[in-house]
Amino acid sequence: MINSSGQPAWAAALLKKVDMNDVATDMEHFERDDRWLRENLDRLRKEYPDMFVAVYDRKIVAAADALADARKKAKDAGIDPAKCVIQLILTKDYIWVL
Amino acid sequence: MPNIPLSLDEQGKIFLYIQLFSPGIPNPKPLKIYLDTGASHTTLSLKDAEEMGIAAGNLRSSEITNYGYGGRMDVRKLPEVCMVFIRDDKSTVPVCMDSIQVNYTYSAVKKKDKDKIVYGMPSVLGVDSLSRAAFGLHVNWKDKTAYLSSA
Repeated sequence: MINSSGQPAWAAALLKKVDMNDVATDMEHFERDDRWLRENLDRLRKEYPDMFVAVYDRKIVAAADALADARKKAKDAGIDPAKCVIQLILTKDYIWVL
Repeated sequence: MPNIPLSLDEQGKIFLYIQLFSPGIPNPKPLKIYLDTGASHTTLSLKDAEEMGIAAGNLRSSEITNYGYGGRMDVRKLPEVCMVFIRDDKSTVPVCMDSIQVNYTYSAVKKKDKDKIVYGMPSVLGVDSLSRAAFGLHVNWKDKTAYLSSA
């Protein structure tokens, strides 16, 4: 079933619950933190080799060997992991053939 | 008309930021996704799926057999997903798909640290989503500028 906005009914119901202003704000913040992470990758590779790091407000707020542990540490520090950029800091450069 | 900005990494690969919503995503969050015009299907990485609370192991297998350069992939199907893109004027563009794929391949990389490598693999935005959205793709590798145009 397609509604007047061209979306299926399930999509219209799903998007009705989403505040697009919040989404835009969160994405801008996420982009800034991801850019900071890329700019500091060489240093982070030395400090957090093969670890998952969580970045919020351009700072490392948690680091752990496992993704779940990095999320938990961020949460314990009072930061919502959903607002963090979490990345595995691989010590080697891998080529992804996409 | 405002566009959806794309970024190029140091190797010239194109990426962007989106957010996904779905009844199967308990913890939505923004994610970085690579644009791949050679991929027929949009596929979430295992890391991004786990971050959003998607239990990929409980999802149904995709009916499609997926192969990459690493061999056959174990891919699951996440139904009813809306992707939200952001334009440079901060307005949003939702694009909804009946389903997208979730990578559940642990065995493709046969090395001691294979799981870590799998967790480093990115999510990819494939042709299925670009076609559904009817986006225009504009890339200039000389200037390292790129964007998606949307009606």
